[in-house]
Amino acid sequence: MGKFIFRRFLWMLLVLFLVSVVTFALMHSVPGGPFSREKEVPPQILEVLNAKYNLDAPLVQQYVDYMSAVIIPRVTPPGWTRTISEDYLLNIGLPGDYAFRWMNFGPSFRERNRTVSNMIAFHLPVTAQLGFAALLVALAIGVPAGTIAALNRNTMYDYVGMGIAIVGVSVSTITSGPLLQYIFGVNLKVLPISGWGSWEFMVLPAFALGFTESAIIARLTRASLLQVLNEDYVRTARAKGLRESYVVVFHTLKNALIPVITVLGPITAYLLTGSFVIERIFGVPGIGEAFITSISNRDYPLIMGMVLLFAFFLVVANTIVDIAYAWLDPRIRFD
Amino acid sequence: MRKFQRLLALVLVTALVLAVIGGVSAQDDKKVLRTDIGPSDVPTLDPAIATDSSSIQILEMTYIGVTFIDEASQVQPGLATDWTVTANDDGTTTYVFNLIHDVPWVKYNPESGAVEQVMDESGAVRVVTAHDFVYGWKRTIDPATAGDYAYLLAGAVAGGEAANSGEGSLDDVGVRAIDDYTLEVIAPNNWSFNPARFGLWMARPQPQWVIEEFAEFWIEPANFVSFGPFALKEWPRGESITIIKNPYWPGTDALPVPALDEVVFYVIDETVALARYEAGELDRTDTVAIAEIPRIQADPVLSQEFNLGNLECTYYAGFSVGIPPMDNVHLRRALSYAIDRQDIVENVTQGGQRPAEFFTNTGMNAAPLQEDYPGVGIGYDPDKAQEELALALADLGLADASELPPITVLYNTSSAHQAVYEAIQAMWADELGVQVELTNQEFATYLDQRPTFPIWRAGWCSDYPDAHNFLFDVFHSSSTNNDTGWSSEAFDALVEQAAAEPDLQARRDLYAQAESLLVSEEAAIAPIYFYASNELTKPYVERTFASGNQERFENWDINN
Repeated sequence: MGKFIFRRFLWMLLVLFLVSVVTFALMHSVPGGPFSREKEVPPQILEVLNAKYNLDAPLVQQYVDYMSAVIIPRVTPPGWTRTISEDYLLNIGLPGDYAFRWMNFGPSFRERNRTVSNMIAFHLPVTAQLGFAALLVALAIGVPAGTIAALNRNTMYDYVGMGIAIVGVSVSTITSGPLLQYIFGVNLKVLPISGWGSWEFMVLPAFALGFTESAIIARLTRASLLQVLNEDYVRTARAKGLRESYVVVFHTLKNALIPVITVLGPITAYLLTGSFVIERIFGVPGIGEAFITSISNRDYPLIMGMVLLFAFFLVVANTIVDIAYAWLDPRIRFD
Repeated sequence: MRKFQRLLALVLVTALVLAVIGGVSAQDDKKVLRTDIGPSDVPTLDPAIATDSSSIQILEMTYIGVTFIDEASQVQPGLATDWTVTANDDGTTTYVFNLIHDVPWVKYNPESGAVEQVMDESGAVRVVTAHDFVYGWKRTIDPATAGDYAYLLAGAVAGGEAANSGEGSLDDVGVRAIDDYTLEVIAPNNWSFNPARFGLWMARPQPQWVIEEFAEFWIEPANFVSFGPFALKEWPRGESITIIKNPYWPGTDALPVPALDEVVFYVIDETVALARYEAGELDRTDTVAIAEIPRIQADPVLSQEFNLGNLECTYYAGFSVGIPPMDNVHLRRALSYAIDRQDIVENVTQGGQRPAEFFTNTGMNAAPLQEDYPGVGIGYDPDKAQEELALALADLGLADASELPPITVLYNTSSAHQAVYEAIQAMWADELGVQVELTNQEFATYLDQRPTFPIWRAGWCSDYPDAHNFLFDVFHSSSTNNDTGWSSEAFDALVEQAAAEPDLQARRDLYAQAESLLVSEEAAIAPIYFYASNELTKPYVERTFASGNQERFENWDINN
């Protein structure tokens, strides 16, 4: 197990390295720069800006400088204060007012008074909360719906449940979001239309976001449960005279969830890094906005920070999924 | 079934409780105006580097210059009570501004919940002085600050351009404090709109002690100080920004003490804003999605709350005059004459835009108006379009429009631009038989690429309400904002002369001649329409409508 995690860790470093190189190369090869405006920035000011943000250095140098700032941690002495070019995402206090600091993503080019680390620290928790709530919604609806459909295969329950799932997968959040807003916010006035701050604000976006994912989970649960229900050991369990509910929950569901757990990895990473559409529709101050607009703004440090973060979550989520396999199915070994 | 009923009852009770809680928290005696400010967070509150309208809107409320622009786009005294103008022998002009005394710097204290005066080390109240102006102006002009808009101020002060380009010294910039309340500015010329430029957002006093202590982080709510009619209260990033009445603002005739206690600007999309407005969660929307306008105008309630006004921007097509066949002036004129602008605003954009025959937006001071100068601009005229096309084809030695080299039109990806350019494409094909291809690119790519395309979409919005900001600042040969590759000595001479001309009518005449060169004789661009602003306001809000792009909330009120 330890060896597996270590090997996964090395893989993760390789993935993050490749992702960073490809992203860096792509974003610099696209025409237009961070200071392209309809009202053009005078050339002498552009020169100052390029010098200020290290954009006049050779590309390889820029890459090395940026990545070393992100990777190399620092222990700061007492009295250290953050600056626009040095602000870390991870800050751990040490004795004597020293601090261990790691991951300096640099200044944002669009919001020139803000660092990317600060943006992530501020907006990521919002998205993560919403994503977690959406994940709960997805599981709370998806797993039971899939189970009921599988147990009542080819009955009304199955058709209705899977019909709803098809609707859930097909109707995008760009439609379901405003629809929910209209029903519960504008018409019934029971939930706020947009904003953030307390749990009421979370209900609609979490539901809109989670419902789509729940449909995927329901369909997967159903398919995989149907397969497991035909296994010999299930017949044995039933032959032993166990109650049907016991058979389903303890003998089949656990094994049936492996494919579901597989998709939970990317779903979690996706939910954690935000859905731009849902955040915009519900005015949620999450990281999704930064993710999307960083590209149109050519906000290079923000693009790098966001892509690295997403890659990191994806790799970690997949690793956790692999570990969960072993718990669900002892036949799976890490060699 | 029983279970379902129980569940339904639970849901209903929960909903009821929520509604009650919501209703109670909305009760408040304070006059809080709730509005929106667009889908992206306000990028900065630093006067020296602000570039976008949301940052500038907040600055307009919290920082005041020597002058400011009122709702009618007229220059009014701001922090200066009055000023004297003296012409110097070397062609420069000296302006001496007398400032209001004892306006304190203030900051919102979240613990006491009140706006408080800022004290210096000795415990005395810090007041806004001429020295804060001098520091602010020099910081803006300093190339190290790297402000996008520094050039507007630099061009208005003697020695400013040299200092901003790094060739001159900041010490030689023509701004100094004669005493705490007297500011002397030397302008390199005698242009009549100089006082307007001295009041622009990048020309505000700036708090040296805060900026030096916190560097870039000085604009964070914990550090941000201001002195205008409002102060910054809260700024949960990406969610909203709230300004609160500054009780220490003395109030002037032009800039009264606000009647509103607070203004909350939500960072939301226009569609969300409309939903919240309809649900009574917003008192005013900044802008309405164009697709919603027909529904709003048909609605008996909303149509009464709807206002269409001019937005000080002009939508136009740029011609790259260096790229064949756009180097042929007759072809450019033929294409411009063939655009039915009325048809576009009536049937395509449908948002209250007005057809443009000139480039300069009608809201600008000294702007020539189409009705006063008939035939000078360029409008839809199919006959002239045919004549010009015939001349163009003769010049190029072609028998038919179909023999023209391929022409590609570029616009930045947006369904609205697509609709306009598809209409224009059809007009050119129908009227002239000229076939063009349309292509679109994402915004930053489009900005980079448009000088390489024969025809491209463009728009220009005012920074200060004077025709100079359109004609000189975009198409004078010294401008970096001109992507057409067109320049003209005659045009340069006209806009230079107009800038120095004190008489308003004479300026209008000169600008009309410049427009004639730009849009008709040389047809470097085809003006299409003047933008429109559209907003919704609840009937209990008493407000003014700014013709410029920033509202003046100190003149607004809520009648409870």
